Amino acid sequence: MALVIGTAPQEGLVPARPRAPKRGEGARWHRLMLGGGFIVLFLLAWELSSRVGWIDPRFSSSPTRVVSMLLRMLVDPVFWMHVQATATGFAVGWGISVVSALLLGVSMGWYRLLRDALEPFFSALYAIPRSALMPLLLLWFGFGLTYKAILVGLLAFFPLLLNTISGIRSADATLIRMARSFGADDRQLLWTVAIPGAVPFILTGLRQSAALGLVGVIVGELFSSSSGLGYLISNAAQTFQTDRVFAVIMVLAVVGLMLNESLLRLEARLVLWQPRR
Amino acid sequence: MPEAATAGSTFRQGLAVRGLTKIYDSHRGGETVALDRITVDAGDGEFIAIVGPSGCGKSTLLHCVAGLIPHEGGSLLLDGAAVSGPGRERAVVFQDPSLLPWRTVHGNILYGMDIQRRPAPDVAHARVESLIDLVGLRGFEAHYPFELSGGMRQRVNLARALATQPRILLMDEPFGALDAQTRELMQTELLAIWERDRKTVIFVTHDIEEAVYLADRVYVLSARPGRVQDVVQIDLPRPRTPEIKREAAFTAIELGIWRMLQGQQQKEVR
Ligand SMILES: Nc1ncnc2c1ncn2[C@@H]1O[C@H](COP(=O)(O)OP(=O)(O)OP(=O)(O)O)[C@@H](O)[C@H]1O
Ligand SMILES: [Mg+2]
Repeated sequence: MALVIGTAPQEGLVPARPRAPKRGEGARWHRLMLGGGFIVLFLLAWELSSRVGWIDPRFSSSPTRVVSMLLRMLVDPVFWMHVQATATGFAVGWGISVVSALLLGVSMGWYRLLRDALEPFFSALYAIPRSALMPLLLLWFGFGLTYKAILVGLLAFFPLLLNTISGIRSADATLIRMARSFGADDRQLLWTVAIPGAVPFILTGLRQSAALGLVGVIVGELFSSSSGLGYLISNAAQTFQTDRVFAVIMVLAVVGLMLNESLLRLEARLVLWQPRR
Repeated sequence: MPEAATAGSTFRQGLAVRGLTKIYDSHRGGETVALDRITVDAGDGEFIAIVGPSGCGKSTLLHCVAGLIPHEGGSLLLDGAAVSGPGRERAVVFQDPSLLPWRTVHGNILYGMDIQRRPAPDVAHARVESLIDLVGLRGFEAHYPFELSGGMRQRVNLARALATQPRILLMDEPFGALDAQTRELMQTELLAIWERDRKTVIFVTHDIEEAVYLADRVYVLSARPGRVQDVVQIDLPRPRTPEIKREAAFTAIELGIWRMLQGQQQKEVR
């Protein structure tokens, strides 16, 4: 049978069990204590200033008032209806923009001709502050899901498109050459070299686009809508219910964090092949 | 088939590089003549080594032969027919390991076979398994390239090329990154594979001793532009073992080639 070669003895026999994965524990506590500590400190200061009367709780509320408002809202079915309106607007808009940005980004990154044809158009569209289009969108689609979804899409589309294009374009020339040496055709180069290499870029794009999409849906609802969390905020603010405003903002903060965290988890899972930073 | 012969009487089975010239356009507008009328013959089953100073065009020559880059003059014939691109009968061991970072050792060795969609998956996997033993990476099958040492990556690179069972192996300083002992083991193993399968090998190296140890014939290239300065036939008996490196006949050839390269360097300095 084949001679075993190239084995410095310690290599072949003991497949070194990586000791790295434990890295989490210490660093995690450190982060939790320090980061959490600051948040607690901030909340305490806020609560104290409003109790002592340095700030007026009617304007700036206080953590305890926000929490008690939040608890009341969470059992109110009307609140959940608004959550659902926002979630639907976001999901539809983000979903569509993710699919189209991926398809377009991969094609534009890979096919020079397509890139040359479409780049000026998208650059121009990208340069427009997308919120400037809101009146037009309202005119065309009226209040409601379509308007929201399109606004979300317009905001979420670009970060993913641009990241995907640069991910595909940064395909490693030496890997392309290696693949070609085995006779890979254009399609195989795309699927086995360019797309896997673009995954980290795509994931970054996904996170950015989710964050912007969230901005899009809330801004859309603030501006004009009759439902959704954005509407709740503007409505509460107009009627001086600052506790309510802060409670909704808190919900949004949690949702944003969760979205980002779950995309980070996905990333950790998909790019096992990258050295950990 | 023989009737495809275009090289007339000089035709034979194998690879023939005839007066190959390669010119790179520089982005500054100038031109670099990387290869100047190179002629190399590699008959079926021959082991050819190419030595030359850094930057003389060894990698360029190999890439031309692999069909990866076009050439500007001369011809490149495989069994008498012009080579127009990469082909299954050739495989390259690149100077840079060129491993896919998202594939494990196993996946990388499998890659060439994946692309060529042959052999059947179970045969391919079995082949990967035996190659992992061959290159001494048992236990590292599931490791990603970033978890490997430079020498281990290079061994994956070699295994990947062997996996497609090419008739012609094009190797670009494959053992350059290895320590002396591993390098010697790899050389001996390569010779064993070659004795067994009689592949045609074109082996680029900096290392004169390595060239003399492995090859039937050594082409000595001159510095830019790369020209064939000398061709040295190595008539040492086979099969060869590392002990041969200490023999007088061996060191004499080695010294001869060393002098050729030395002479060049002096010319360059002047
Ligand atoms: N893609 C390229 N574009 C322009 N010039 C190139 C390119 N690749 C190589 N060259 C030039 O061609 C010459 C030969 O390069 P090559 O990589 O073939 O040398 P080499 O003999 O393999 O060197 P080494 O031993 O250092 O690997 C060099 O002068 C180099 O600058
Ligand atoms: Mg080289």
